[in-house]
Amino acid sequence: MMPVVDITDASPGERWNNYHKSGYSILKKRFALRSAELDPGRTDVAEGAVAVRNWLMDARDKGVPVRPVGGAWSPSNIQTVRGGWMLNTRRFNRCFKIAQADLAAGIDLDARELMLVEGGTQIDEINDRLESKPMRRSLRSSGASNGQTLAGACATGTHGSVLEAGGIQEHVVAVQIVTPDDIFWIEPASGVMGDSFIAATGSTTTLRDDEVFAAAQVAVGCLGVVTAMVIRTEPVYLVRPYLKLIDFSREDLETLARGDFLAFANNHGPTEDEGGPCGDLYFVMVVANPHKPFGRATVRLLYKTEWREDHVPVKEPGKLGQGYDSFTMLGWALRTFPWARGWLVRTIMHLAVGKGIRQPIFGTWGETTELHKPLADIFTGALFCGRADLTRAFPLACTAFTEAGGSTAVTMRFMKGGHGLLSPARWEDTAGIDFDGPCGDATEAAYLKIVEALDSAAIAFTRHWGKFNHLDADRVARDYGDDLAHWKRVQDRLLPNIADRSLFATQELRHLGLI
Amino acid sequence: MSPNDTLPIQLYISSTDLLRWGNAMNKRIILVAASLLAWVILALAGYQLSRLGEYLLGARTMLIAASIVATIAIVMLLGQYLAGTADYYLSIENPRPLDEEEDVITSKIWGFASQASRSYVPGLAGQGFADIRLFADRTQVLTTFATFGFSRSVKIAWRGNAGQHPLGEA
Repeated sequence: MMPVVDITDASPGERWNNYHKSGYSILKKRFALRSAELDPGRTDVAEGAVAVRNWLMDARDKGVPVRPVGGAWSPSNIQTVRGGWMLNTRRFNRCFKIAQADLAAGIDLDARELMLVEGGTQIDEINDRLESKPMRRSLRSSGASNGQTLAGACATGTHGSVLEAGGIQEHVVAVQIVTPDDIFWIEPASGVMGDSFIAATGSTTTLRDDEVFAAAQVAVGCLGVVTAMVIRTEPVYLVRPYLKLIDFSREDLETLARGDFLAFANNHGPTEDEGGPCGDLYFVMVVANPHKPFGRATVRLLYKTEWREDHVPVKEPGKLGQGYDSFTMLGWALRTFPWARGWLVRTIMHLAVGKGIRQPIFGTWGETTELHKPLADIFTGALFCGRADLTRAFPLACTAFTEAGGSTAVTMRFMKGGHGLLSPARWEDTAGIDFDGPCGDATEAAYLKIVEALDSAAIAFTRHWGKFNHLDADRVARDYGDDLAHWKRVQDRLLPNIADRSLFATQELRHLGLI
Repeated sequence: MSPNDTLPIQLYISSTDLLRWGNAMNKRIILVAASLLAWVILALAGYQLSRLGEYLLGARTMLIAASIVATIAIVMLLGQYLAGTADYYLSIENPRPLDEEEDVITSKIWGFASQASRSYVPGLAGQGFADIRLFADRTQVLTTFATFGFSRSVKIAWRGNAGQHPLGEA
C-alpha cells in the first residue's frame, strides 16, 4: 500500500473542521498517511517516513505550506494551515513491542518497558495495546481525554494531571522527525536504541543530544513531521476514583499550594465507611464555581493500587473518569440565561456530581480517560503557574473572569513541570487552572481579563498551546525566554534552509513567532 | 489503479460546475412554484370543504370539528418538526475516528427517488466507518413540510475508521 495518499473527496473551497469544530481551514488539498502494513514495525515506520519526506519535497517544490494533523483535537487553530496541504496521520497508527537486542549496547533499560508507536497513534489505542496482554503496562499520566494522537499531544505539551508526573511527553524516549532533506532519529545524549534499529527505521541522521531531544519533546509542529516515537511505560496498575462535593475553603487552597495533598485528601477523601483510600494518593482535582470560588466545589481523587488479574474492565469510563466534562454539564443554559450564571454553575455541578463516587471501584489508567467525542461550541483555556502562586492566582483569576462575564467552571490540577523546552508546565511543582465550558464572546473576553489580572499581580504563568490562548510572538518570547532561544537553535539545525522552514510556516505559527 | 490512487483534486470551477449549478437552481425554482400551486389548490379545496361541511353539519358543529382537526394537525406538525431535527447516531465499538465528512441525500416523490451529491465515498474504500450520524436541519424539515413530503433532504455525517492493528514486533 502507498503510505501517503490523496483524500480525493475534498472539493475546492471546502472547509475542513477540527475535531471539536472550534476551528477550520480552507485547504488546497488533503492527504492521508497510512500504514503500509509491513512487518517488522521498523520497516513500516521506514516506509512511512520516506513517503512523508517525498511528500514534503513535493510540497516544497510547489511552494505550498503543510501541516500534519492527527486527532485534530486542539480547540485552538494551532493545527491548521490555510491554503496549504494537510496530512492526516491517523491511519499511521500501529504499535510495536521492542526487543532487548534493539536497544543501544550497554544501556541500563528493560526493553519490556518500551513501545514503538507510529506518529498517528491515538492515546486510546496506546492504552488498549499497553494494558492488554502481552504488554500489561500503563501510561504514567495523560490528559483527561484520549482522542489525541501521542505526537499531537506531545507537540502541544498536553499537561498530565498526576501529582508526581509531568506532561504526556515525559513518556517519550526517542522520536523520529521527517523534514524534506532528512529523517532524524532524536534521543537524549545517553542513547536508547541501537544504531542498526535506527537505520532500519529509515532514519538518515541520528542525533543523540539533550538539547535537541528537549526541543523535540514539545515540537509545536514546527520542527518537521513526527512519524514515530518510542515511549517508556510502567507496569499496569489500577486506580480507585473518589468524587464528591465539598466545601472548599481558603485553607484548603493553601494546603494544596503547599503540596500537602495527603492532608487535603485526609480531610475530603474516602472515610472508613467508604472503604478508605485503597491505595496511594495519585491525582487531585478540584472543580470550583468561579462565581463563588470558596464554596461548594467538586473534588476528584484517584488512588493508585496494584494490578489484579481478576480485574474486570470497566465499560463505562464516565463512572471512573479522571477528567471532567464540564461542557455537557453547563450546556446551553449558561448562554441562554447569562444573568443566572453563578446559580446555574452551582446547580449543574450538584446535579452532575449526584451522589458522587464514594464506594470502591477500580479501573486501569486507560479506563479512566474519557471517550473521544466531539464537544462542539466549547471554550477551553488552560493556564499554568507555580504551585506556590496558586493562593494568589486562583482567587484573582476567578474574580477577573466572573466580573468580565465569564461562565465556565474552573478546574485545578497538579503536576510536575519540565520535559521539553516549550512545555507550558515549566515549574518543578506546577498547578494547572482550566476554564472549560460553552463558548461565547463574553467568556473569551473574560479569559483575557484573567491574563491582565495575573500580569498586574506579577504572577508568572504560561498558556496551553492547544487551547484558546491569545498568545503572540512577544508573549511567547517573554514566557519562554532562553528556552525559546535554545529551541530555535535546534530548529535551525533540523530545518537549516529558509525554504524548509517556510514549508511549516503557517499563519498561526508565524503569529506565535515559532517560525 | 486502487480506489485511493485517483486523480488530483480539481482546484477551479469549470463550465460543467456552472451548468450543474444552473440545473440545480432550475429544479429548485420548479419545486417552489409547484409547492406554491399546491398550497393555493389545497387552500381553495379547504375553503370549498368548509362550505360543504357548514351546509351538511351546521356552522357551529363545523367550527368545532374544524378546530379539533386543526389542533390535532398543528400538534402533529409541531411534533414532526421537533422529531424531524433529531440526531440518529450509530458507532462501532471502540471507534478510531478520522475527520468528519458530511453529505446531503434528498428523497424525491415521497421516497420513489433519492439523490446524493455523489454515489460513493472513495476515501473510505477498504477501511469502513467508525460512526454515522443522520439528521436534518430546520430548513430541511420545513422544506419537507412545505412540499408535503415531496422533497425530503437529510444530512449524513460519518467518520471513517483508522483501523485497529494488533500489537506487532518492532
